[in-house]
Amino acid sequence: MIQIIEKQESFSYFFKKNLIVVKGVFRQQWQIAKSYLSNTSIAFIVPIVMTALPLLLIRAVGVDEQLIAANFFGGHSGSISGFIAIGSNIWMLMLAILWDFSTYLRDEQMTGTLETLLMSPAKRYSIIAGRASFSILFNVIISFFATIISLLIFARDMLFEIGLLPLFLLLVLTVIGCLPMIGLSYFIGALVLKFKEVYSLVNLLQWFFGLIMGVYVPITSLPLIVRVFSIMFPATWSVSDIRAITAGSPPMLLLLGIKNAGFPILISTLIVIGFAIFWGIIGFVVFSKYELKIKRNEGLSKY
Amino acid sequence: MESLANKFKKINNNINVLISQIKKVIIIQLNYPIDFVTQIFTAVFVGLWFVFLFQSLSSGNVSESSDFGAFMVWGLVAFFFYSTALWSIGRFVRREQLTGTLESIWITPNNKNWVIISNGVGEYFIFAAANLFIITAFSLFVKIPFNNLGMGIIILFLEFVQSIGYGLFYGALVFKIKNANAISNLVQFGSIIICAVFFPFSVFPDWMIWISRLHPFSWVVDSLRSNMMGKEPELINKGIWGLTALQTEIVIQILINMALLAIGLLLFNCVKKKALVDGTLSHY
Amino acid sequence: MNPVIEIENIEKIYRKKSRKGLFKRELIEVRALDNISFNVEEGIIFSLLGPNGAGKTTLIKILTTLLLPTAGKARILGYDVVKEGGKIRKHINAMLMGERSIYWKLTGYQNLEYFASLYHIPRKVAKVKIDKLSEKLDLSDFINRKVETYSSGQKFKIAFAKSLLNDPKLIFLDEPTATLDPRAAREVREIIKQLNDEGTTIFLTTHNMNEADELSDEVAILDLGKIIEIDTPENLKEQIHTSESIVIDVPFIELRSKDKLLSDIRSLSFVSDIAYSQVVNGNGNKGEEKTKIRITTSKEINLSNIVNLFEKNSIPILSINQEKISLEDVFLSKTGRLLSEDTSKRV
Repeated sequence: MIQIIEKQESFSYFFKKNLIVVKGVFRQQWQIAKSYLSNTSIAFIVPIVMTALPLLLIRAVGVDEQLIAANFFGGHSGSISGFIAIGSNIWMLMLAILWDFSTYLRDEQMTGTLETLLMSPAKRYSIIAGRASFSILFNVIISFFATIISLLIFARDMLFEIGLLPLFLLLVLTVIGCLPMIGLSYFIGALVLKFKEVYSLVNLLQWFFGLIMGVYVPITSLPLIVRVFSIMFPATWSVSDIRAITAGSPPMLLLLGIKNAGFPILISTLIVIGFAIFWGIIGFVVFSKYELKIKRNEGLSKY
Repeated sequence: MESLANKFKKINNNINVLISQIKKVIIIQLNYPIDFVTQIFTAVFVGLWFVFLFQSLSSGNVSESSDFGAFMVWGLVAFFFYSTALWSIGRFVRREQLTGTLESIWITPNNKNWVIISNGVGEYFIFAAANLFIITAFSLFVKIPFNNLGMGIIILFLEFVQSIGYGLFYGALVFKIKNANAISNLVQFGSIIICAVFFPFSVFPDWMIWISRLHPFSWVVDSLRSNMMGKEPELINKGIWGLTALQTEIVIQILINMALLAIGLLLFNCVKKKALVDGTLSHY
Repeated sequence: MNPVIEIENIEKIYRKKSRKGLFKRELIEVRALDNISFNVEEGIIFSLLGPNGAGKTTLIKILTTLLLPTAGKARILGYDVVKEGGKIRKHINAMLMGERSIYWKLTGYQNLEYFASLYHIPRKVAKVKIDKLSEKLDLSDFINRKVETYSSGQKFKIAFAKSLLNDPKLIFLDEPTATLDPRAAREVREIIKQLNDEGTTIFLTTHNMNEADELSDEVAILDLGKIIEIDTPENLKEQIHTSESIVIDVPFIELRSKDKLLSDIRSLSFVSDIAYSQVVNGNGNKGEEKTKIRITTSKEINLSNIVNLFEKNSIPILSINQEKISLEDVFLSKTGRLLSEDTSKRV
């Protein structure tokens, strides 16, 4: 009988080996993204329009903005346009990641490359890491510029008042906010391998997520049952804190009624990281479970 | 000259294609019931978005109309058909591209426009059922007026014709830029506002109503709502040529539909032809 | 003896719920592989021969860790396919769905570079490797173009190059020449031989008997999920005690007249086996269908007797050819059918 002698792997070899996969996947993602460039230009326009629509509506309906601001910011003063601009930009960013990761497995399955991928010895987590790092970098850059542009158009005063530090924090919190979304979307993607109809499910979820994270309205104005979902959804935390830093609305902990937290933004950032770990593990476990189930029965290329 | 028998044969073939496509869509839908269920929930969530937005704003000074529920339900019904139309043809093209079956459909001796429209019709039947479900569900919470059902069905049929036009536009877009999800979202979202799906047009200032009038879907929303609620339409104040305002809106819709269908077909065929010339039919 | 593949009583049953009416569902079981056992030795070209639907792809997917068997054991290079998939994947490679296993939006080079990274090959090493493969498989004319602009043969070559990236000890090829034109197919067979000369064990599935005959050191015949015979092509052919068979093409025959004709032929003393298949040409129009009848003979053939029978049944003969005994005849004698028949509905 043939016997292969496996080399003992040192940690540095293990690290290097996985880094090759991460870099390879990152590069491939960039090359593919380049062929869909027209989509990228839309990614810039959509959040701007999404910001414009409710603002136009507010102006069209003729409600007093001061009055709404009092409603939105619970007594604080802040920029309602900035509030909505940041809400719709972060929502769009989350959707980009949601689409990227939840349709990923299904698309590979439909085009026939999923088998090739799963037949390689590359570990799933390094492939995901490569994809995630590209997706975050690419989408955060787009989102950042789209935010700046929408603020320039709708909330110029607010933009010029933001210091460099809050702007930097906005970027950091945005990146951290993407992390749990990757695990969550991967989890959805794995579920979809079972249910097949990914596009309609994700279409549903994008509205649901927008509803619970309070894209246009503060979560305090949502009914209690919706608010329960809001708290469980990581992006709600990110968007509230980013708004707190930039638009002057209360941070997430304050919205929840916790008044005397020492570093409210730091604490909720840690909670977001906790979400990232939680959803990362769940996504991975569920995918492995379904992969096994599919392998046991129909095989991965069936659609 | 084509003989009469040949013509009949052609019509018969087309009907067969239509039936087989509808059957295919229904079978696929039955196999993926989740698609059907998610469509219903999507509509509910979109509705809730605006309920909350409207509520937050109206805690300011907008007087809440007592007809708000009815406005929303009939708006939602119209929007639901519209949204389905935006998805169905484009999604059909994209799905067939990904699975590589678009080319096999192409080489069958059928009129391609007809095959694609048949698919749209198939999806439409499915979602008409979903619509009935929504109306029933909402009727549990709000009193929904059914002022003139017969006319309502005519308006929905007109919307159906209009939706094929949209479907062709969107299908062409999918051919051209492949992944058109983002655009579809944008168009859907924009239409909710411009066409006043969840609130009366009267909240808009005059200049905004003019923008609404340019969107064909606004006419569907307005005529369906005013007909079902027994109110005067909001987009025009009085009829022309001795017609009532509602009848005039319907005539306007018929004209718009004809134009939309013609432009949709033209555009779709242009893009399709280009895909054939470039050999990009099966690209995804 | 060094087996690289050891298969013991492998069984695969697909269970599928099928809708019966609106609410009723029926569980359908399809036995794709039925208690299969055999070994493949190191360094050989092994062919799994069988008609469409025989279970070839199912077996190859189990061996490449993409599908789990319902029962039985299989070891690849000493590792268990169920428990040690990760270790197996490092040392094998496969080309399964041919042109659909690569990304059409990338160039050939970008595809190879990407897959190299999945096999943990550093970029610099990958470049050298891809250059070598490009030279070996003659990819240089198109490697920097996007795959969506390729011909089938070119896509195939990139997919094939992809399966050589990690210098696999064992490579699985599922119907490698099925979609290729004869010239490209010949080229591929040359490459397979060359690869085998360099020491790679090759496991391929095919329903092309000439290909199996030409390439293989050993052939297993799979039919309806069962291994019917396994041996070298020479030994398999020797089992049939004749040296020739005749193939007769006739226009499409209706079922009733066919049965009569076949029983007439069977009654001839020199006929040992007979089988037929309906061959559909290109666009599938009914008028272009024809029926292929293959007769293996045990003794000296009397051709005029056969021709008379066709005349008697008023069936015109389109062509008649005498052929050397091939694996097709082996399959025919074991199963009573031709390899070109699709058995997927029978399983």
